Amino acid sequence: MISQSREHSLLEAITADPSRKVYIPQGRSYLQNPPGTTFWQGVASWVFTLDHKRIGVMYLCGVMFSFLLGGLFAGAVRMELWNGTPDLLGDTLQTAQDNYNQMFTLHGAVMTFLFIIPSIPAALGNIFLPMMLGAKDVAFPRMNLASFYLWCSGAIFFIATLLTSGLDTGWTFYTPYSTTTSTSVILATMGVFILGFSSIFTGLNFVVTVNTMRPKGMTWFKMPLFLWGIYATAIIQVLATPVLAITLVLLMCERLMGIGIFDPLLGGDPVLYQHFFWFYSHPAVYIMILPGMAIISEVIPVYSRKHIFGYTFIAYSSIAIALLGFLVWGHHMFTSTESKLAAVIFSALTFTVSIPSAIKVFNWLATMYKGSIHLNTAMLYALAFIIQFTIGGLTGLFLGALAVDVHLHDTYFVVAHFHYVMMGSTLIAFLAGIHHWWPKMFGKMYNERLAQIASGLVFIGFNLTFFPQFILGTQGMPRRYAAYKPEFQFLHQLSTSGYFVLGAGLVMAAAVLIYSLFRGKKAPNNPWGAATLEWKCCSPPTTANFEIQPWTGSPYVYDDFVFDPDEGGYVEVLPDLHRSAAVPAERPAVPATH
Amino acid sequence: MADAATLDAPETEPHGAGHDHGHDDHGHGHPSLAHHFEDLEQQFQAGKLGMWLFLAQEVLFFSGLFAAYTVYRWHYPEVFVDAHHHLNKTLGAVNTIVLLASSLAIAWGVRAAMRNDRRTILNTHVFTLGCAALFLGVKAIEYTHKWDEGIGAGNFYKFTGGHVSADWYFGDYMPGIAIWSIVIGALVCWGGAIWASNAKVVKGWVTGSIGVCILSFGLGIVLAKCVMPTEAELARAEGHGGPHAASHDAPATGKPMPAPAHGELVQTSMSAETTTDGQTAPAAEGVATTEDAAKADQPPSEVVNPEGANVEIAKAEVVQGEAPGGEPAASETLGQAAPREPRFGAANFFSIYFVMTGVHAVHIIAGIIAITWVVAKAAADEFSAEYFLPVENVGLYWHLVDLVWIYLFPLMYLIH
Repeated sequence: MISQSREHSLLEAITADPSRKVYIPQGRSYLQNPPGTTFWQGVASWVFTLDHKRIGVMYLCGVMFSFLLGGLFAGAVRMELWNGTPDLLGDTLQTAQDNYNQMFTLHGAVMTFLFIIPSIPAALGNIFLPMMLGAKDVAFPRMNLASFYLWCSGAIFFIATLLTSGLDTGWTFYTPYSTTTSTSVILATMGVFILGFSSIFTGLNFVVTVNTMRPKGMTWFKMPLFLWGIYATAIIQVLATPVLAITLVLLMCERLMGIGIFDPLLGGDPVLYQHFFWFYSHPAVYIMILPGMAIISEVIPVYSRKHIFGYTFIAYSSIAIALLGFLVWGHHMFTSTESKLAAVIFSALTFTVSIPSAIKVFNWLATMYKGSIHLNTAMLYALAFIIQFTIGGLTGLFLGALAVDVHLHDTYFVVAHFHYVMMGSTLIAFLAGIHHWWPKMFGKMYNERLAQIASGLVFIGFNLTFFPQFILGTQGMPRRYAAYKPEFQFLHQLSTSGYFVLGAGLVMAAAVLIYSLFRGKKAPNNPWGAATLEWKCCSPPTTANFEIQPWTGSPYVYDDFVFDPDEGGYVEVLPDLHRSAAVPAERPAVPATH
Repeated sequence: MADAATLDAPETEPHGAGHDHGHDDHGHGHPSLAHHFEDLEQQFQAGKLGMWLFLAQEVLFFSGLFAAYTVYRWHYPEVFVDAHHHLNKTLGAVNTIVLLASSLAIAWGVRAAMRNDRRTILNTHVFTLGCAALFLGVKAIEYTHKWDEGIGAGNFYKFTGGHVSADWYFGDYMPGIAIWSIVIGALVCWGGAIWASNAKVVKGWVTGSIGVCILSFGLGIVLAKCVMPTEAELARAEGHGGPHAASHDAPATGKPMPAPAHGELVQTSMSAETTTDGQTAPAAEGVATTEDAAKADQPPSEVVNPEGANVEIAKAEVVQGEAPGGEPAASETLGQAAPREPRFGAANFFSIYFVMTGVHAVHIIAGIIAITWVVAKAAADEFSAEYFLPVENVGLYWHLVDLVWIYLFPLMYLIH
């Protein structure tokens, strides 16, 4: 934390000698084309772009559209559950229930495969991972673009699924139902297969970029923690996703040819499918949450104006979560013919995941302790993350405990648990990241007050939607049912009301951000005083990111940053070369002013 | 850290700059250096690490299949032992040798790239292409042989004891395909050779490579046909369609095959085929082994689950409203013409065989495309001792494809 007096003296120093401000050259935004570009050239410059930031922006649009789609499906589910009789989604009981099955399946599949897995790594990671490394691009720019187009084709398959006979298997495609239902399982699994390769290529790119393109001076343990989180995620993406791919190939073969691997009627083993599926999909849970944690690890120190507490532990805990995540898939099958021994082992391993997760939470709290906390929108979302992730994580322990899980399996308790982790944590972290990096991505400041109000609505709406579901689950309300007993109605109605509050909050947040694109103030280079490299270039950056290679300092030391009213943002102050003898050896002796 | 002077001007667009092989004339020195790397060494390390990660991904992709294989072999070893007699060990061995030779050649080619020996890069890679196509030729003959016998994957498994299946009969086309492949392949090779000698080096080598592929495919079929006639042909030569499927295995395994026990082996692992009118056709004569003979006196309901009742299967049967004890499943549920028994049998083994070798064959075809691309670039003289990353990466990929086969061959063909 910076003392008031130090801040004051820095401000005095730059007023007296403006050349002590680190010079950041301005240039043409990566979003713009050179003057004289025709419309179609402009379109082509986006379609064939190899710029990681433009690809990230395209991903951002894509995943937000998917989120909207998945959110509308969720709305259909919640509104159907307003009362206990399935009547909203169809005229007869049968059609209403069939359509309900379609709605929750499509909600889950779209949210999981199209939104949440690519959300943080492919959108924000693509934009900021190379910039945090001071690099010009990811290691394989063309593969990066290819992965975006793979994502698009996967999305097209999903849309084709929607337009044909839909999907009603649940997002998990469990056999034998998925081999017998008449809905478009092949189209959907083909979509997931392609999305998987998109995810693999993104992960591969990130691992190679982090390994080979770190700037001089940035050793592994001087990397921003966002990179550690994304790196751990990328490892899971590369190693787990292919197992899902081959599982889906086998599922498609099962449907097309009846190969009898998963279908019990043909001699196959449906539980084998569950093992294969969760061997990917449990690590995939960490593909979803690790990038969220990575964002929170960036946001909290910046807005607490204090060095991150326990850097090494947070870094290692990301890797630990990634590795342990591969060993716990069996806890999804406690109730499906798993041997008692295997169940006990998987249960114990599941508990171990809570250790690195708790390490992160405690370190974030310790970072905030005695910090100078600025309750900006990103920080509000980060605080919401800590609360909701704690609830989501602790209820995960209930489900990891064998005896409790038998009762809670397939109830709303599970639904509430994973929504607290997936939505209450990952989505909230995604929103924190978007608000934190918005000025850098688009060069505009949004209305802070309105964004804070939106974050409050999101927090209230989220908890109103999902907290009642914990209670419903413990009372025995099973998941995936369109009908329920009258005594559950009050809690279901609370939950549905929460959906509308949450939706209002999200729409408001989106409106505030989109409005800023058109009417927002121009963003300064470093509005929040962050010390990571992506803030050491202009907002928005140029195509090459850094016109002058930035000096790689510690990502969490804020001592040299001070709010400069002239710039409307923070500036980094160089040491006084005339008076101070304590000049860091690596720092350029002459400030790079051009 | 790069000094600012060596960075691109702000106006420089990244278009046209490639990560490992693009042209970039921004004054970095080497034409193969992409704009966002600092030097060739960094680019080489990135490309190589990327390839190893891709290979790790490939290994895990195949590992799902190997895991399925392991689980079912663990549960049903007798099915695997029985069914694998239908695989031709000689052809499998031929393919193994072909792939090992190709791996040697491509490793030699990488070495040649390091030594700036363009001619050897081209020769070794074209040889590798030839091997790959030979492999596919042999695979084609193996698959045809299986389909001729009615051995397909899953629902296409219609084996009825060595009879030639009308559904899957196109073995007669293979000699024609072989002859045309050889003729066309030789012509294309010749055309490529003429081009190459007329200073159109790239076109010449690429055309030559494609020609070698077509030629080798045809040669592979000839080789396979010469090494081992198909069972369909044996049946025709012998003039009867009776059970004889084990005849080609007897010399290979060196153990006498027991006489088929007609009528008693209703529930052998070779999947009894139940006809639509309810009659049960004994299906497994050809491959009946001593274990089957030993089981022949057991009541069918016990043979259904020789390892003890499988809970999931039992549950599913109840769910589907089936009567236990091997009665025909309700065919409406699956939309199948002939219902299969709800137990793991030869159809399942061959499903695993076709999926595993099929996925492997897809990788061979991808390898052929990648190697042809390397040939084109080598012919254009783009590689040097400083820049040979694509050669190395394609070589690594090819070794992996080879390695997968090295595991597949014993696991499928050499079971005891």
